Amino acid sequence: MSEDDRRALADQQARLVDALTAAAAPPEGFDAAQIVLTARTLHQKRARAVFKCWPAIADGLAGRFGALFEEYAASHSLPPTGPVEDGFDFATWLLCQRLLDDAGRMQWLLHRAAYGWPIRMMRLSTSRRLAIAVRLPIFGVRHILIPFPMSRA
Amino acid sequence: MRRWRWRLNDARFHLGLGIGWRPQIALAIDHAPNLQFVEITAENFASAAALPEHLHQLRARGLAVVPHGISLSLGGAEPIEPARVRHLGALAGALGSPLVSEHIAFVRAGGREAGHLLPIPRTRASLRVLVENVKRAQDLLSVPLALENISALFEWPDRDYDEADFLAELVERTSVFLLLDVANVYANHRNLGGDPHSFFSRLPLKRIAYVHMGGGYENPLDGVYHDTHAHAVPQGALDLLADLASRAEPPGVMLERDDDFPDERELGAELARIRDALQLGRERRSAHVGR
Repeated sequence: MSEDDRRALADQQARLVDALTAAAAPPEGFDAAQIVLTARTLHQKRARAVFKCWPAIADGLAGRFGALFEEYAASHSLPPTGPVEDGFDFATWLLCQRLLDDAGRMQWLLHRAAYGWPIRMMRLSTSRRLAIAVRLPIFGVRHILIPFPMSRA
Repeated sequence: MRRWRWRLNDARFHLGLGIGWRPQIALAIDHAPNLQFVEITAENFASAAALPEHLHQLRARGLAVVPHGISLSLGGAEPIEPARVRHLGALAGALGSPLVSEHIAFVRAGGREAGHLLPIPRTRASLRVLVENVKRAQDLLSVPLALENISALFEWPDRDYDEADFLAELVERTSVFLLLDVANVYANHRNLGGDPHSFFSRLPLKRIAYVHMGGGYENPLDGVYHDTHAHAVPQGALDLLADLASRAEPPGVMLERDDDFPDERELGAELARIRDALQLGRERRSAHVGR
């Protein structure tokens, strides 16, 4: 009986979470207006958390943050590790669309260097520099900026 | 495996007045003259080794520190993850905590994170799953566990219990303690209706380990009350706290402030309002007993 209880509950809860985070239709019996309100509240909470821990993106996008984050969130579910990872995924999405400015690219690069391969580099096209980030023992991630002449695109 | 079942009639905690520890108000917490405990969010610290020195300093001054989890998803259909429980336990061990706390909620389902505490159905089947998850968590902990009632903007359609009966049944089957969030009771009353006084009268009050108080605001566009923990505690929530205290003395009461942090003076005023509400409740209780 316990496994049956879990299976039935799992199905109900999964459908509810889909309705709240992925704009799926709410399960039967729920008040649709309340579900929409909750979904909006959850989205605002998610956006606010990323806004706070990725200030370079927040500054760089300014008034466009809300709309762009909404577009990104529609196709990217919240990572289990939380807003820092969510912001990184958002920054990557912006990068792919050439919407990330140099400050945002720097924050993205420093995050990359903090995990996995300890040396990362990236071209900052606006300031025409090459940023190199290195993760060192004890000191953490440090970076340098080198003038990097680039051909005008 | 040794099972800890706190089959006591009363909560034996003596926590006093407390506050949620946040780095932004650490200095104000340090200066506050009447604090007796702080609560930390367990997920904000990667391990016991990552705990800030300030918490150890507060402990040295006699304050208790209570780890509060937000990601266990005890109300979820998926089996609980032992690593998350062990993390709570490790923090409690490092801080000498008298208990740990979590929520009656779920936060993930179908491989997707909700990013928020969501209510569970108050059905017999859902209670069976919750009880099983709670017992598994208690088996992995060597300190008592208290569970918090959450606020929500919606309810599940199927219901076998109302909230007070659901909590009473949960306590009966698991001996778990309650972290009564009076601000959430207030928020649910504003948004979903119900009678908080009747709710208090049917709760197992002696199982309350401590109480949460927090602020919120009403959205003027749709009248929905949001418990943001970023605003002053509303008078309605303070009135409910006085009502609770007129029935039974809570072993601990704390302020939750997560954002838009006020200055020391305002924080002190918030705590004073909580103390005043408790005192009002106490006076009503002794007047009632005296009759």
